[in-house]
Amino acid sequence: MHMADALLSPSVGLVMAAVTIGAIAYSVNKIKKDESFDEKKIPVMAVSGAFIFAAQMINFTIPGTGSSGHIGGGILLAALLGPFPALLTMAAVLIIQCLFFADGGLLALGANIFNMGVIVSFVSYPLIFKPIVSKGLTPKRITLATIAAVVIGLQLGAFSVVLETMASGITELPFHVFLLLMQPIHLAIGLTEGVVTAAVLCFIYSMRPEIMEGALTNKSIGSKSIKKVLIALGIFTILLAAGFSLLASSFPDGLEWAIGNITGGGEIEKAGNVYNVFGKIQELFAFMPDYSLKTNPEQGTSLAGIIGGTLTLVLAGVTGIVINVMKKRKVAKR
Amino acid sequence: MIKIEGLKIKYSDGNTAIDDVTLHINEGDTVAVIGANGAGKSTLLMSLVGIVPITEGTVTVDNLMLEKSTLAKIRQKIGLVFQNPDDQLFMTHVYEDIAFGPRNYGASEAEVRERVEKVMKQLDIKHLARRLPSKLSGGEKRMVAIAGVLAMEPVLMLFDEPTSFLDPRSRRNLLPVFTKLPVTKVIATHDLEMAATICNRVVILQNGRVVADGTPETVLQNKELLESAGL
Amino acid sequence: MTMLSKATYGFHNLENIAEGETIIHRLNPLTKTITTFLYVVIVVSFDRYSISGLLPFVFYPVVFMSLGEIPLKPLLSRLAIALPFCIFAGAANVIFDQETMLILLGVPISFGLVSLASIALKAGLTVMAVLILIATTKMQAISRQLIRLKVPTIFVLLISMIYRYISVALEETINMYMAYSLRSPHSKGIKIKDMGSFVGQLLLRSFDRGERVYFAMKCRGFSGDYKYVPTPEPPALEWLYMISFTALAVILRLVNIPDLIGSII
Repeated sequence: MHMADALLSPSVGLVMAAVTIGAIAYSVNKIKKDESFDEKKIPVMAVSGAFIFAAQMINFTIPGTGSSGHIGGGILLAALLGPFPALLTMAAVLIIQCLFFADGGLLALGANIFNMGVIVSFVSYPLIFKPIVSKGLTPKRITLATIAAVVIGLQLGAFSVVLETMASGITELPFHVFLLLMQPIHLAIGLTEGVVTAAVLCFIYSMRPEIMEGALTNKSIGSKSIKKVLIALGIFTILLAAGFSLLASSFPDGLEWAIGNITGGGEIEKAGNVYNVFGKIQELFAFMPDYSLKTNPEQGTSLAGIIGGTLTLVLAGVTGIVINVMKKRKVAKR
Repeated sequence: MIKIEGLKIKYSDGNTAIDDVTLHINEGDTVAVIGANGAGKSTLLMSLVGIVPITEGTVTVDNLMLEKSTLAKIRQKIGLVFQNPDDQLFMTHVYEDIAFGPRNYGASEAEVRERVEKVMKQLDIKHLARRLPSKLSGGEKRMVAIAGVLAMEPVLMLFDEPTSFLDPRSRRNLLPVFTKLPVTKVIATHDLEMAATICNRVVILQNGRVVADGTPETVLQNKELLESAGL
Repeated sequence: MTMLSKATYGFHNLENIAEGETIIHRLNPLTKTITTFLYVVIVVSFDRYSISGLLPFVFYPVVFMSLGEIPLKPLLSRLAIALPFCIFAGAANVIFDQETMLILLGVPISFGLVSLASIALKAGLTVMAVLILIATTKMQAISRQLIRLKVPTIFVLLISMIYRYISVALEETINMYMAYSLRSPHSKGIKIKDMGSFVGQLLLRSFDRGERVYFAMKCRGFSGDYKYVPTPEPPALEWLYMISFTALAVILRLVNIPDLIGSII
């Protein structure tokens, strides 16, 4: 579920980054204020975080299908550490995965942490896992709570991916097709991951019950304030998205229009300006920015583009070779 | 220097780890604490730095009594080198790890740099400064762990099984390092040969009690005593 | 199992590369972070059908990978991870966007194909940019840079400790995996019914280790907050570099140079 940068637009990436930064700041604050938070937790978070990273690579065989599965770890961390430490840990793991393992893009970090961390800690844990399990920590309840939380968490996460990708407007995949592909796959993934995670939690509860009990007593968001938080998040996201789309669409297009006017670009640019206004309005309300960008490239310019582009590539390649040769010469001289 | 009086440590599950230990450690001593697994060696060491809570008895370090309010001061005077260096090397590279202690105790960056370099020189590990912990051999990790504790300039150093995880050569290299350390040392160990070579005093722990306390010659030659203590 | 060993190898390899001493390595981390982030944002801001406009941006990875002496192999493995889903999304474009955009040497090229190429190009450029950042900046510098950016200490400490313990976690997991496989010769991977105790055991061990690390930290004076030394200011020359980099990138974003060159010809 890790999103790459190439499928994201700057506005979506930055909006999600802002939302996630807010969630992380909130969590850090909550942790600092929580008296029951043991500083002991920090190295425990770190070492278990490191393990979750490794655990995500463990292959388990799904009987009957011959295929293998992997666990994500969000609910696992939340159930053992509490939701806020879990968000921080998940965020840290995702950052390391992005930087050191190219799993997920740099701009996409905000979105990825949101899809795989914030949704778990702020939605599936407090609204699904915790209520079921607060009535009593039994294997049955743990299993039920885990599977439900994992499945729903993954569905929400997958849906987020769809929204974020569609809002970025890079892919032509129609909304409903995308949904039809993502949701069922993640339902299957969620079920297997849920079952395995439940098994792990039951095992841990049987060996060291105090870990999960401790995590439960940690204050997480109560259901009343959760609604407030979700509404606030939603409004915040919409406002930022609108703001960013306005900025993103107006600035470069506006400049292009200006440059076009200076160089005598003529009618295409003027038509483009009108388009821009409609474009802005559309971006505010639609998930899918429209296709009219197609009208820009013409046959003549694209041919020029190919020639110029090839030249550019050749130039870049030569530069690289030259630098390498010069470096080798320097080494040889020593 | 260290007075342990009537120390008793009981775990919450009812187990008694340390059962009435009275021990006086003098400045300049190099004391070996030996005993079978489960005899209480690690627990004893950990209680001296306040990691394991004391049920009964007192520990006094240079007239400073060990209690909650004095923990920070005591931990600066007593350094504990853990059994598994991976538990102790938690920063991203060697220099940072050695600097951890001095930084926490408020030293300025210049002081920190001075101390870290001094300690690295002392232990001959200057070449490891920029290394990542994952790239160190067992012996190197051990040296860095010792360095990290030494950088806090303690008066007493505790070692929990320092020669475990080491191959014969690393172990041989470690022994002279011990003798050169200008601090009082208490070493919990299974390594009877090391106890005989570098220690001036040997204490045997059995079931949380001191059953012998004397020079290496007297204690370690006493085969019956060693056998009954499970060694 | 192979994923785990690949990860271990790749991780160690990257650590080695980051220890280099080239001019890129010596740049201030803030400089590299800002330029990388800017680069990614600008590359990604190109519309769906841009190819020629993107091409000048190829100079950055080519030049920096050469100057930074970054080997190609990690790049290829990173692309192998990042590209598949991008190609899939792009392939959807080929299916759904069949209108002909231009005719190249007598072959009609659809809008969809062009957008697929554009996505692939963007993916390559962004992955390379992040690789350059990571391969030339040591973890310690990253942590100190984050502190400078006012990221809470608890979070920075968390990131650097996770980084530190990843190799330990990978090793322990691989060892246990091997022990498991030796006693279950017919299964590739762990059976679901064993996952509970397999992962559970390793997690419990992590908790125990975390506790021991905590004691080690306490013994050396840790009190919840840690005084990181922030990175020094980038020198004036690097500020100049950042400004020119930004200006160049914005210009290249707005003006399609290859098109200009091509039309002159």
